[in-house]
Amino acid sequence: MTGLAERFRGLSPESRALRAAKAYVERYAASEPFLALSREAEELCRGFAGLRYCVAVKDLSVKVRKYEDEEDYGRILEEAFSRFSRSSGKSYLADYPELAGVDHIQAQILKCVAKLYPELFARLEAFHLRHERFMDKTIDAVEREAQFYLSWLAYIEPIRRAGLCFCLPRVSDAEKAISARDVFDLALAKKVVLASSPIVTNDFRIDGAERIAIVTGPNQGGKTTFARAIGQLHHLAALGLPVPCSEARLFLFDHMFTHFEREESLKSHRSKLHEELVAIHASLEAATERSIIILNEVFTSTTLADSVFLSRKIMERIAALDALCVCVTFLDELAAMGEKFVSFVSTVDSADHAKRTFKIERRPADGLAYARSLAEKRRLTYAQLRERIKP
Amino acid sequence: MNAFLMHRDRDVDPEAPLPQNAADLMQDLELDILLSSMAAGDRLVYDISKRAVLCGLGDVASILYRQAVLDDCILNPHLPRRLYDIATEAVESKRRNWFGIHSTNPDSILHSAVRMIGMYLPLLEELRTLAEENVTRCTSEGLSRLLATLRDELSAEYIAEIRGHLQRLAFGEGVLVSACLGRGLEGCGYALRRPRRPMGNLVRRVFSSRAPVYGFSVNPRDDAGCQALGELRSRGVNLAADSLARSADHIEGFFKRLLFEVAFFVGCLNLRDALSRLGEPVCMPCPREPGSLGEEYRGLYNPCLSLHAGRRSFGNDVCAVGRNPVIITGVNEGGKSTFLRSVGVAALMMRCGMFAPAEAFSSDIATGIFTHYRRREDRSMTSGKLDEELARMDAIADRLAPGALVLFNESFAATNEREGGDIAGQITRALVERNIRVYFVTHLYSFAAGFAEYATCQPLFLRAERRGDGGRSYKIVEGVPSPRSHGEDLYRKVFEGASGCPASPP
Repeated sequence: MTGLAERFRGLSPESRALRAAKAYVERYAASEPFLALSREAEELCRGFAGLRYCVAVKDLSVKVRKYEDEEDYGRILEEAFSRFSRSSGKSYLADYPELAGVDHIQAQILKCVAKLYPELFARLEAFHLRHERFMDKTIDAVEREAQFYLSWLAYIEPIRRAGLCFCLPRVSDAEKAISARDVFDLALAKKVVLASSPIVTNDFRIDGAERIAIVTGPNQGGKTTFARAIGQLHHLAALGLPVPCSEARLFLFDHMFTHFEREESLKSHRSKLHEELVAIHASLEAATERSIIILNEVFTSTTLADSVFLSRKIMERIAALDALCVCVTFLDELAAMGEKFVSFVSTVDSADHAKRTFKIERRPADGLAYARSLAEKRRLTYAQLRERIKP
Repeated sequence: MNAFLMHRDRDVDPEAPLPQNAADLMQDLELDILLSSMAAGDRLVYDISKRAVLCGLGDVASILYRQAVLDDCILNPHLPRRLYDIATEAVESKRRNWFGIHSTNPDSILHSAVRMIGMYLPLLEELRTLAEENVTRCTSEGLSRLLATLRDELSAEYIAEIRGHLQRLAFGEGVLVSACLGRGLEGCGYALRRPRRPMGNLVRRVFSSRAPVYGFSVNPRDDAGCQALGELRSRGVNLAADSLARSADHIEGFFKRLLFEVAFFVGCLNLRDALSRLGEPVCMPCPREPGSLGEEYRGLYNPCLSLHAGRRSFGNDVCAVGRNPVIITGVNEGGKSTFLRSVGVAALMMRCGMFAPAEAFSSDIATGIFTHYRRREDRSMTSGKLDEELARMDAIADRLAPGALVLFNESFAATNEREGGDIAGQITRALVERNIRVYFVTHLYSFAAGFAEYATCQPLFLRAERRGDGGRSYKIVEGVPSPRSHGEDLYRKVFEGASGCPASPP
């Protein structure tokens, strides 16, 4: 309490909530009853912390006296078997909860202890009589709610220090044209900032009738990261938090649905493709024209023809729904499905094709022969392999 | 107390993760035959050997450490087998007698732990005797250190001390417990104490000093009171019971570790016996630090084939030192796959400190051993064949580093020869240039021939041919690939029933 009041003293917050909290805390911490309470409590705690006693139990007879430095038998055993011991291992400690109250045996023992330390127990009784109720409800609530803001700020602080921008976005629940500048993926930024290497930011824009962004291009070009970042922007904006970009106009959605490629689950007897279809179907059933759908490399575990067929079907349904969608895929034909579709492409260095830039550009997709693109997608061309395997 | 037979400075981890390609290695190199022969019916030997063979060691010193222990075991085969039996007895008799600590009540935990440790004591003594008898016969660092540790740490005096503790912990004389007061003035921080004075009538004796003592007795008809007193007592012995129970576990853990350490060597002895019954030679290979210089074999055979067929296989002599990639072409069913397997199996055996299936064998230690075999059937039925092969190659590439060994068997033939050859060529070139050893069995002629003019490496071309000594065996000889269709032989055999043709090797 005292610490909190001190921290507030140097600050002049602008928001209504914080101004009120500051005034309340300062008043409370300076009040004489609070000061007296804390002085007394400290002294008593010091007294009881040092108290130790011994109990001897034989059959039904119990004796109590002060502790006289007898050796710890547990430690003696530990020592005797130390040559076999390992740091890890199952614990056999019975888990006795801290007693909430004191049973009548404990109470009798405590009476004996009180006789051993009469002065300390007398002071405790007096303290109790004076301060039966002390916890302040308002202070309790301030502490709990502040955690939300504090943990977010703590999370983004190192990223900000590395020079990346966060901003408060303009949000609308009517306008589906959205845009953002210098967008980056938080999860990646966290990692990259730790390694103190530079991070690539991207711009993003969906105009007019456009609803569905098809992201294609060479693998490991930052497509997944891009899709994830767009999802993060919207989710964080809806929480009222500053978002990872320098400027943004975002849509206030009702639900967000994400489908990212994942390992086949052993718990399920269904194939990965089957799982994906079931999950996407469930999402589309629940989605509305105010939803955002993010699809990352779905239907990759099937043949090309299957994958094209399924992806087209899903895209048609999303377009009919008029929901916003970001779809990462290697099927560039999806980008040419109509006015609702807009193409984004991950780029490679134009001089050195094996070098990735992580820039995502808004422009038409460029095709590659299937067999070749398969090898490329698996990052198995000569140039890609040389890049992957460090000498 | 450490056993440390497998590694100089750490335990075998029986749950160490297998390399991600373990299932491929098992399938492609038919390792189950090898491991079953090592196990001779013992599940644990199988599991530990499987981990040892698949995980392997990374440097010469670690391999030589294990080879030395194995040499000791080969000279004194009764020793590892006896160690294994004693440790098995310890682990098994716990199970057989329903020993173990299942209660959550500290009093009964303590009681069970006393019983368990009592059961282990004679077996610990047996270990000491075995160690005393054999310690001078062993020369390897691993075994002589283990035996010396057993002899010293399990001395007769120590065993007697433990017996003493077990007797005292019966607590016929009552317990002495210390405590503090918690936030609600409840007792807390309980610890069992050893009384200053000898045990007698504890309650009377302990408090005979002049310090004030207060006390009371619980009425025997007060059920709740008796229960509360029991709980107090349990809280009091909690820490000590935990300590003793963990010690019982640690002793069991020691026996288990001993099993884990010895199992591999028991497996090696079993395999060696099986191979020598067939008349197959084995040798201790000469490992070189990881690199990409290459392998040299004399009389290399595939032990899995010999064990499976129940007879000697013919060995091959190949020197691939300084040559990469090694491209193997030749007649179908001409022993190319068998040769490729023998290369992989020998590399795995050397890398785990075992003997090698050859008369002589030296090689760099592979930093990773990978197989990329064409699968006859697409098991998942979900992805295209070529893409499935590429996906497996992708997974391999994730873990490739210079000094790895990759065995390709008819890879990338699922598409047409031009495309397949192109992909195979790109991959092989990248691997070779990154100092990864490549063995490639193929009939993609354009790919194989492409390397003949490839200036940046010195490829070794091998061909499989029938031996002069009759139909049933094949030898691997140096020879450039030929564009002639390899299917011709087979076609004639099947369609025209040509006589004297070889049966297919498994």
